[in-house]
Amino acid sequence: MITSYLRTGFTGLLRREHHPGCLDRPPHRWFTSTTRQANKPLPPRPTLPDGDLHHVYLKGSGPGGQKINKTNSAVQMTHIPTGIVIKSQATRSRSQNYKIARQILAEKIEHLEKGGESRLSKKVERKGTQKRSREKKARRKYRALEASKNGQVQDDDRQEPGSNVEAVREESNDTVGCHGENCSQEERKTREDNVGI
Amino acid sequence: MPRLPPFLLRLANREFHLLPALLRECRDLPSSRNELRWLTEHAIEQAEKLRTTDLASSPSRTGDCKNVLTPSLPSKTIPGWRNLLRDYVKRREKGEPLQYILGTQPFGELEILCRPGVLIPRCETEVYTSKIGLLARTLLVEQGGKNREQELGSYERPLRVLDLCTGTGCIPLGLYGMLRNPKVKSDEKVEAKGGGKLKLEVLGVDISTTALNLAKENLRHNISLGYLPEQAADEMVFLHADVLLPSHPAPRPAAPYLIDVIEAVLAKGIGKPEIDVLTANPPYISPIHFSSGRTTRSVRRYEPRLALVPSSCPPQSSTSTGLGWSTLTSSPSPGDEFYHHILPLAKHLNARLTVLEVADTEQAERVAELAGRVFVKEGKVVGESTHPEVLIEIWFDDGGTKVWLPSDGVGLGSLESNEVSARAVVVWTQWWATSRRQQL
Repeated sequence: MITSYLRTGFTGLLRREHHPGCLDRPPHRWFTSTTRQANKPLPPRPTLPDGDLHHVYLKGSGPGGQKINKTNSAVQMTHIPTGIVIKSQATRSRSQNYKIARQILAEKIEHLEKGGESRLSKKVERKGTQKRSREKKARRKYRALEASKNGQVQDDDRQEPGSNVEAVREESNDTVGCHGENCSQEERKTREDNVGI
Repeated sequence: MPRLPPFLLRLANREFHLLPALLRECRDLPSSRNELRWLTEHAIEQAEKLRTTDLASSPSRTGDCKNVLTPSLPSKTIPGWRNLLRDYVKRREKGEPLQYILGTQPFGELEILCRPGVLIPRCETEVYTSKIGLLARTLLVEQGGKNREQELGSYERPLRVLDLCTGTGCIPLGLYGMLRNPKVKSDEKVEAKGGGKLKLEVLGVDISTTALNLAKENLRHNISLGYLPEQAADEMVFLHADVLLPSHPAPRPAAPYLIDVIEAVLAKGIGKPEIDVLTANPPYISPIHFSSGRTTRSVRRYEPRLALVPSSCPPQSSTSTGLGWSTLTSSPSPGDEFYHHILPLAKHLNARLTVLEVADTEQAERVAELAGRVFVKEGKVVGESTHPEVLIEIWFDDGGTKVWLPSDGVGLGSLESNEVSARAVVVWTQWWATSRRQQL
């Protein structure tokens, strides 16, 4: 069932609506000299067999039909082997909510099974690297601005390679200091790149 | 209705100043939040639309630097959407259905337009419509292929679907979509066999011309959106007719009588004037249930009474016709009036599958019993062994089904939990009944 709308490219649209935060970003051109690590395609969207799923269209108790006009279109889906429950109320359409719930559930189950190799964790990883590189660039920018303000680096001096290397050294030391082990490897890389310029 | 606790209103107000107003109709915070989200999306969309049409209509303004720039800005900055949202929330607070404000309601894979004067499609209807679609397809394509050829012989008659009291046309449109594009189950066999070859003829009937116009518009709308194929325009017909008897004294718009219209249409087609699938979501709320608080304020005030409550005229007064109504109109329940007319019609048109929406489990029992009387001759019992040609089922809101038997029919209400109400009475006849039995 999933494959049918994978083919139409429909799920991508839905996911974007539901999780505005973790959508697959369009290929974005970053102004960086390092090669992007997240260029590898994500693992394919996981699917679940029909038999493992149990879904309920949620609605309040009491009369229904013509007597009440309910706007609740939530779908609750249970993965029977693990007992994981997902509720989706993203859109007004039940059929779309069903697809969304199924997609999220499949991703969760895959995450449980494969851990770091799953699509979900790959996505999180990709987001993390993007965020880090954004922050890094911001820091570099403001450092440069500050430096030019203080007048330490003059227009003529900028041409000289020696002073440039000095400035980068300083910056990289700072960042390693404040972000600890996680960033150090990456920062070292940038330092090397910058020195190369 | 219990009073909304003040802490809830305060909580809602802290979140967003328009949320307490929505609480009045929604009664709980999660659904108010959802409705607010949908209303906001709609308001932004509408504001954008208004703005672009304004720009297009007044060329003198487009010279202004500001106006040229604004369309490229993100949608949240479009002026006017907050005012629109406030208006929408005010209307919703008074009880106007969300679907009338937004103008649409999703129905399966389709988008159904909704307008005042026409009943809004309910989610329960959506659930059983998709079930009919799935069952009809499996019966026709997988199991029934051989039987159908035998039955029809040399000529090939299209599969006929008739929907009575169609309103927005949601049931016939939904069924057509399901039978024509078998996208829902990506079974390639179904796609290859049933997708292109199956001939369809789908009829929708309503007494209200407002509803008919909207149904026709919905057909065009869904074709233009690509949810229905182009050929739907040729294969679907919406007809103006009265399901009740022509001599009916109630003040209702004059319309030709149903049986004449149907027979005239079917006579032009290929084969016998017969119907394969007959569906109906007739008005079924009894006047007492309508006014005693069991029907919500929003429905009572804003949706058409014509689509909800059968006319107050008791069914006993209807005169007999050739179809034998007079023997059946003995039930005193005022909400059941339409079923007394629809079931004999289904029998007359040889419907293989009849699905009638009902209000609750009690009404389902009454209608099932009536169906038993109509479809099964006197003295025979609708059991597995005694009468294999007719199978009567009751479908529940949660998707559950139960075969109705006269012996245990009385205990149905007590057997099922009170929370899940019966939603439809289903009658299978001829070889569809035997196929369905095998399925069960």
